Amino acid sequence: MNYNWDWGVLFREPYLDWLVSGFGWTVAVSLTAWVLAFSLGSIIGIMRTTNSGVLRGIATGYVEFFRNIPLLVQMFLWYFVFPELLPHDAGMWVKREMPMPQFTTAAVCLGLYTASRVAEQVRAGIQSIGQGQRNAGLAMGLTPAQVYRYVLLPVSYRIIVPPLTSEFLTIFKNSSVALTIGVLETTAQARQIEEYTFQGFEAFTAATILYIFVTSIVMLLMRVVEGRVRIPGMISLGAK
Amino acid sequence: MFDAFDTGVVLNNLHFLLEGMQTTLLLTVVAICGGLLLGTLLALARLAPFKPLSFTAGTYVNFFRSMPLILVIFWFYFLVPHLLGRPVGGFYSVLVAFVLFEAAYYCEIMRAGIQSVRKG
Repeated sequence: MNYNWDWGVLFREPYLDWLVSGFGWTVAVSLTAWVLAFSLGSIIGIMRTTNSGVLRGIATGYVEFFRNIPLLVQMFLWYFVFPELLPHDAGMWVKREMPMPQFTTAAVCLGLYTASRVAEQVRAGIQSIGQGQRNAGLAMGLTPAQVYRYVLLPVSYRIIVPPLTSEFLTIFKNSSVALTIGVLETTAQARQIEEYTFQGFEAFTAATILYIFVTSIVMLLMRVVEGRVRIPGMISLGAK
Repeated sequence: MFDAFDTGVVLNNLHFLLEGMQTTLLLTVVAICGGLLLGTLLALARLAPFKPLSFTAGTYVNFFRSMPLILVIFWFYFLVPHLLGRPVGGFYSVLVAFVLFEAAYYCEIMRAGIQSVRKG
């Protein structure tokens, strides 16, 4: 195997800049998507546990729809198809005038996709508590909203911290799919460096290290969170 | 809005979609088989009492689990021809990538399964 090693390429301009900006986009897409995924996913997850059949139906439909289409296809649907379905002016706005169209589309798409997965975690968390506590809350005269706010959610969120952690890690990895619609995040930049310099080993190694870096940070962070919010006696320290 | 909508495009080019579906299914089946096999071996290695073996398997799993699939595919698309010294098609590169990538995930599943069976 003959290969000209040149690790210096990673620290040369403009390649270093590319990597740094790529990493920035990875983080930006992931965090934006996570905010959306967490809030929407919570709402959908709660809807799936309510007594109203209509709400449950809508939420189940949402989850099944978004979980059963590959993320890559969803990315294409939002980017290429969705603007065409809008009225002409709105479509043009989404395609051209919206601030950073690729970034926004990628973040929204990733957020909506992950929301369906977060919703399942939230639902599992609420259901793991059992019917007894809900009935007890209702019997004490709390409204259903209050039962969720004061009885069910505080416990269920604390139970689902470990699966949410892996969801949070997955969103960073899934953000690489954004490269297919032209967001120049870490993976895209690594590929670009490979194409410009033919130093594929170095470029992909750099990207790999960046991903390992970000997942390690998240793991450390979540382990602290996990320790803080742990309910004594209820869950063991999760993901090792 | 829908005046430019033409279902004929899909129907007339159905064979493209079917061909794509064939590739999808083939890749899925081979990746599942290869991944399961390698994953089971990895899980056994991970649970082995011999420390270096379990450490290596653990590193392998954590390494692949912290990388996005697309990056793994790029890695192998670039790496496999280099290692073999001759160009191979995209199909074989991606196959290797899938098997190695999925093996890491199957390893964790198998490990959980094995560990859930009690010692007794």
